[in-house]
Amino acid sequence: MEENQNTMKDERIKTYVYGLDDLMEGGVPKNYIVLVCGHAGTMKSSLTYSIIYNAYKEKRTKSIYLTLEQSKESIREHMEKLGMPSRGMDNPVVIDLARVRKEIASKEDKPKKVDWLNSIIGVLKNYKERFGCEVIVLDSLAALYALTSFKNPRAELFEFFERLRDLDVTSFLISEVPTDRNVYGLYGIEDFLSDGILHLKVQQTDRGSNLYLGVVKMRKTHHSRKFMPLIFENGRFEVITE
Amino acid sequence: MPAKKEEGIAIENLPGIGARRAKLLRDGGYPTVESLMDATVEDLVKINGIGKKIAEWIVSAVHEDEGDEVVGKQVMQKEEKKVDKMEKYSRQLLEWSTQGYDVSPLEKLIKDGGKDLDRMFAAYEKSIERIEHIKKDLSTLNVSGLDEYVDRIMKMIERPSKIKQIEREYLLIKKAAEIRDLDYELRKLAVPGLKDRVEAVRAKLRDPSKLEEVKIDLKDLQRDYKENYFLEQLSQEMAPTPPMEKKTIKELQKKETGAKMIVDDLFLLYKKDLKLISHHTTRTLSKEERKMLLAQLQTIRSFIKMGKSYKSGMLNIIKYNGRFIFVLEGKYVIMALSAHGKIEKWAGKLMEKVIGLIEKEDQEALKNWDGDVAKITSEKKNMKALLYVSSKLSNPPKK
Repeated sequence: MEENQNTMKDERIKTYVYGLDDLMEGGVPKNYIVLVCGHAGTMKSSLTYSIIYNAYKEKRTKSIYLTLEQSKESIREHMEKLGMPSRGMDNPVVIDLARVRKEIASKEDKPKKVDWLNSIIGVLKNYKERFGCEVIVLDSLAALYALTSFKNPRAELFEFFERLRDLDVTSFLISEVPTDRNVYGLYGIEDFLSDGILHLKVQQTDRGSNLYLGVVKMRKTHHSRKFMPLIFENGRFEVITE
Repeated sequence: MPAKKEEGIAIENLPGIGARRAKLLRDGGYPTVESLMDATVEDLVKINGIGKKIAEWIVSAVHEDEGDEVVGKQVMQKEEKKVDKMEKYSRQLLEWSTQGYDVSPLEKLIKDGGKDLDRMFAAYEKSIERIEHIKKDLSTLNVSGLDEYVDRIMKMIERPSKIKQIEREYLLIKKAAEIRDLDYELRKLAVPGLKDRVEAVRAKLRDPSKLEEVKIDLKDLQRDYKENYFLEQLSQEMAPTPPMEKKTIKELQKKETGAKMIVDDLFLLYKKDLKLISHHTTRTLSKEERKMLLAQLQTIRSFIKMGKSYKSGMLNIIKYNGRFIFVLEGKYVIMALSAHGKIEKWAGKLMEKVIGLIEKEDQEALKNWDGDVAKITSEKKNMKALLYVSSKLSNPPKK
């Protein structure tokens, strides 16, 4: 009974990364905005896709993967190679925003200014009402910024995060960490606007390179800040906690 | 069997006991056969005139009689049991026939003195149990559109002797329901862009061995449908406002002289959310033309949504890429007719007529439409009729 009450108060979205959910009191708190940060090649896309892929397989959690980086086909192909085939699954839904971007750019009567941030939020809202959606992934913040000409980035990003929060979905925002600065987003404010940060790092060793994951921030959650080796095997990620 | 008297069975009824010996026994304290039941040879020889041999005879006769009675009882019980069983069968037959089951095979078996009644009744009972289960299942199964199957199973459902055929028909009806449901789900996804794939999967439904494959295809299509929906909505959000020409139909009519009016496309939208109900054309569309079709649809939606130039209840006209699009709304639907050439007045009249027909015939479905195109049954014939009449009006027969 007590456990049920706790679950009701503190619903979480599992990451289905072996070992990680136990370190975060069961997963990411529902409706949180979580940054998934790291340099190029740190498997940010694969990790976040595996979260929504396994969430649907295990609990029928509906989700959307918005990609501005790779095409839908390329993502599906890549994930299939990693052991996450999408054949016969009506989720996760992969939205190829890059295609829309190209189509708009090629139009003769293209609009002078496209409000990507608000357009995406508006459509997400309609989509959620019609088909249901609990988790979204945006791949990536940097690519979205490239489409947007901010006049006042801090204010506009704050508004974007707030509107995202109003959608009542759990969001994973993929953010490529600038190499020259010690921040988790391009504008340096994404870390405090978000509720959680998962940081992926590659460490070079004599025998090659190892991938590490650290929970840098997760509001209302007791967690270790230690970076743990992250391995991927048979379609599932695992953190080595010992 | 000895005759019974109120006080018991008279001694004289014992075989070999005449009146004299009966009197001796009565005088000795044994008035009836029952009173002799506990008597021993020693007891009887004490009576004057009863010797040992007679005493032994009497005792054995009394108990032999008793033995006969036991055998008699067993025979009676057996007879009674037989009567009970037949009664039980009769009651069971009555009960089953009251429930509507055909029990004639069992009645015939009883009449012919069939030896295997127990087994036959048990088999019948089992079949009826199964039929009841099937009936319960059928009562919850949506059988709309499956009349032919239902008729077939209903013809035999009250005949437990046909249980094997009933089971076969039951499996067929379940499969038919599954195919119907899959087809319904597939038809919902037949939007421009997915239509060909949907039709290809629907064709697989003709082969029942491909049902599992269809289910997988359906999931893929449902996912792609959602992806298309998202992208279409996003493109719409980002679409530039189409430049509207503030010209009256009369002015446009004056301008577009010479060529006759050719209707290219017909769109039917749901007024409440502008969802596409159907698109009809007489052309075969290339991939490129399909894309253009979506752009045209977006223009129509933007025009209606903007509201500035759009006049509800009136015939609106949009100039678009060398074409013109008539837009007219009804109570539940909005029709858009895209054409090129000379503007003709009959277009508006035809649209009004067809909207009226669709809204009349599918009033119930349109009131609170759930997005299922299949529910709007009249649109296809009416829209196609509009296209046909338009082509006839554009190319009147030469006199």
